[in-house]
Amino acid sequence: MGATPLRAAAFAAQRRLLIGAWLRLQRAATWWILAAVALAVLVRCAGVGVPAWVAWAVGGWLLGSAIWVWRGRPSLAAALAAWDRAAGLDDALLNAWDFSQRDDAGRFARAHLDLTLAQMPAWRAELSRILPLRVPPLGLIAPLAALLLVGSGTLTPVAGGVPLDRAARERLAAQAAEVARAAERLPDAALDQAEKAKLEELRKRIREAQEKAKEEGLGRPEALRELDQLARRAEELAALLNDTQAASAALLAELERHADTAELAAALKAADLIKAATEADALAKQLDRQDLTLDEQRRLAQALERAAASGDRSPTGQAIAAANAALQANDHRAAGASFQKLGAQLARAGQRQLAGRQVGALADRLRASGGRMLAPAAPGDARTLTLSNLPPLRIPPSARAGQQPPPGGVARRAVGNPPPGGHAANIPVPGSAPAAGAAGAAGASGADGGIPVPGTGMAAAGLALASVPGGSRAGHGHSDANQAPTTARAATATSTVDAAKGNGESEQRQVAGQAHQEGSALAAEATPLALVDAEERALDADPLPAARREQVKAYFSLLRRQLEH
Amino acid sequence: MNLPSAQVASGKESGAAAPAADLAAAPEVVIARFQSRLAALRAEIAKGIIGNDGLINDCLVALFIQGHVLIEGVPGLGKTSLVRVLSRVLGLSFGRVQCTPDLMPADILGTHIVHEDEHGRRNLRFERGPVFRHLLLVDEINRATPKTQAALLEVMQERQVTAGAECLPLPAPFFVLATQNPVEMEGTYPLPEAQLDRFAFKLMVRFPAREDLVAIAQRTSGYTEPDLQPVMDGAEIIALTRLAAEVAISQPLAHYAADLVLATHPDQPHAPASVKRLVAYGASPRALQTIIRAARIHALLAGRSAVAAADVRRVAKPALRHRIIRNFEGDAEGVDADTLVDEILAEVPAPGQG
Repeated sequence: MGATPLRAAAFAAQRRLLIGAWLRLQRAATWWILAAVALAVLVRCAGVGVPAWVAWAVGGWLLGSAIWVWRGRPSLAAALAAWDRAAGLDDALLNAWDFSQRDDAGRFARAHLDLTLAQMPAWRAELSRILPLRVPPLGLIAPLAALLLVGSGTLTPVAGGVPLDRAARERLAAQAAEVARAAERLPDAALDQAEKAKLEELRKRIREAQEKAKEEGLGRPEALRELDQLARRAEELAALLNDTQAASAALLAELERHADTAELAAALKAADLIKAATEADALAKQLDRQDLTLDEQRRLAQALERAAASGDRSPTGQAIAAANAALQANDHRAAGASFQKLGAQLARAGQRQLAGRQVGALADRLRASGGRMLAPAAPGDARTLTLSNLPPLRIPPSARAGQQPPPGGVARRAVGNPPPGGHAANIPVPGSAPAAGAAGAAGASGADGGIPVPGTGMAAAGLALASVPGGSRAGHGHSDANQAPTTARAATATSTVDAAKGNGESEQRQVAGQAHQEGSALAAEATPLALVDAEERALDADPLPAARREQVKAYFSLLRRQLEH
Repeated sequence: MNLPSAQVASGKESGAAAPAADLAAAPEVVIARFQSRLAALRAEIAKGIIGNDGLINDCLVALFIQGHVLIEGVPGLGKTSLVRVLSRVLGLSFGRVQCTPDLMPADILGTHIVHEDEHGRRNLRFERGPVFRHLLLVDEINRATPKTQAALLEVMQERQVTAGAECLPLPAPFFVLATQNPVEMEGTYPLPEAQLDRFAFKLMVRFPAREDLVAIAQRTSGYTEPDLQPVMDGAEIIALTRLAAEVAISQPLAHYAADLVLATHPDQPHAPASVKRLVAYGASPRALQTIIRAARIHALLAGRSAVAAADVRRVAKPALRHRIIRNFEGDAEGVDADTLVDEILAEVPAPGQG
């Protein structure tokens, strides 16, 4: 019933409403688009970056706003109602549209529809006046100008980015030459064939990059991308070389308890594989001696038996298990051979470890080369945070306070040792100082602390060990971070004593000469690493604001990563 | 969309010539006749009532939808005069009840009395009360006790009186025009919600403007009543009421009216915040019926054959203001029902507004 002319009119109104809504959106976003275009032109003129995103942003906005307007389009009835409102037609069109959809319209509805259809041509003629499409002056100009600029190529991105200037190319070439020299010096004796091939490939890529750095027209993004790829390759190789199977903590703890194996345990714990190899060789020689006393053999057999009981399957664990089996069979020479084999393995692993560290440092240099290429180094410039340029770490008073033992505990413990009240506090470690309280209790009842250990007189006397050279554990010296270690001295004997009747074994460690002059059992970076860990743990517990905590944790995480490298 | 002026003019002439002529003619003709009859009615009313055009218009709309009207205003504003004038120009019988606390239902409805016939036999006969008139003025209705107010319930809704086992229909058309004084609240009994809902409109009588006061002073300070002539009769009112029911209303506008009524309910999600906070109960479906019927009359008055959103908005306030029951907070803040209706009208989008 007269639906066709009404439908056509409704579509016309809907179309005008859609275009009007889209134009209003453009007008609302005019200044944003103008600002984006101006920024793109400025960026392009300055030659700093690639403004490809501008073209996408403008095109995306035009298309996206059109889609958004289309999705929220009014229905045909709503379009007619809007027309009614704009023209003051008292809902004549809306009513007519509704009546035209009905079959049961009465005579008044039919009359209304007839009258509306009769007047429709006149109203259609005035539609453009009633629903005008006012094109805002800048609303369309801005996106059209942006499209024009993009189309004309003014904003077209430069392939490969802005080329490097001559000075930057020279700096890059110099950096590349230095890196290439460092790459050539990398040791590869301990590497297997696959690793050697990878190292050689890396060297080759670095040499190619060195040649490429001399070419004119090399873009900054391209150069930075190349450096990044090389750094990634170097990091992958470093990770491969550093991937050695470490001995378990249980094995190390057991080895650390015995005078003959304590040095080996300390070196393994500090991940100093070269020193560990030396200690393994020393043990091999000790076992291979003709004049090995029965007492020494029994002591070693006891130590190795306990260590082997840890079930460690690392190369160290396997060597110790083999040596233990030989000693149990009373074949100390075979045991010595096992340790000799272990020494060789550790020496090779140490060399791989050293090579891995150097490759890691090479990766750092490659990453730093990008920054140095873009800006010449100047005094006061920010430097990459590495172990070599880290400022000396000062242990804060709070951290020191946090390490103070409770009354009756060990006077001073190295960071990372078992906590107060744990194993170290109750069981006397060979050569370690029993606490004053424990010593007193032992003197009184002989039940808990065991007897005073020779060589630990100062601790037993209740004096604080903070100022004692050598630290709190005999055979495990102490030194402040980044300070020269004290001279290491070997422990000479392990003896077994009864701490108290019916209370099991206690052990003590005897140190000849001055007590506590040994070298640190920890690597120089272990202490700050442990401190960082402690700080991170403390941050989780302290009621810091969440945002602040994340910020501080991020700092410590970065610091720890740098230290670990 | 108004009808062409030529058609209106012709319709006016034909309507004036034949007031109760056949209303089955073409819609534009009957609409024009309706307009002309209303114009004649207004002109006659204007002889007796000065000013208050809006109030008169709303009263006439209520008459043509056969709805009852509650008129509220301070004394002396011409409420009773308006009803009296209406009865005379409409040619309807007129009854009046002045409500007081001791007024009894029988005083309004009538009662059985002992009657002695010519043979000396006595029997009970129902003596009809003032309610058996076309137009009943219930003056100061809130002074009557709830018992007496309740007596009006059946009368207003069923248009009949039940006396004993007998149901007595009221004459058609039947209208109740009740007045109440909002100032003197002592010794009054506020109308219960059920009874308020039976009034189609609640109209507020405003104080006359200065020009109207001057006209009142010049024209009505004598002792002679204006000579008012009946312009319509009950049959024509009923016929015009049936005609109005034919005015078309589209689905979007019916939805709009329903949305307005729903928005008076605080538990509706689209109700304005003030309604949710200050209103205890909203309008009933009877309010929606009233709005639609009254909007049709306004469409006819505007010369249209279909209802527009403006017609719905025009009748929303008189149809809703007495049906919005405020809660304790609303009463405490003294919020006006008209303010709430204004907010509803502002927040509920009309077709093409959303």
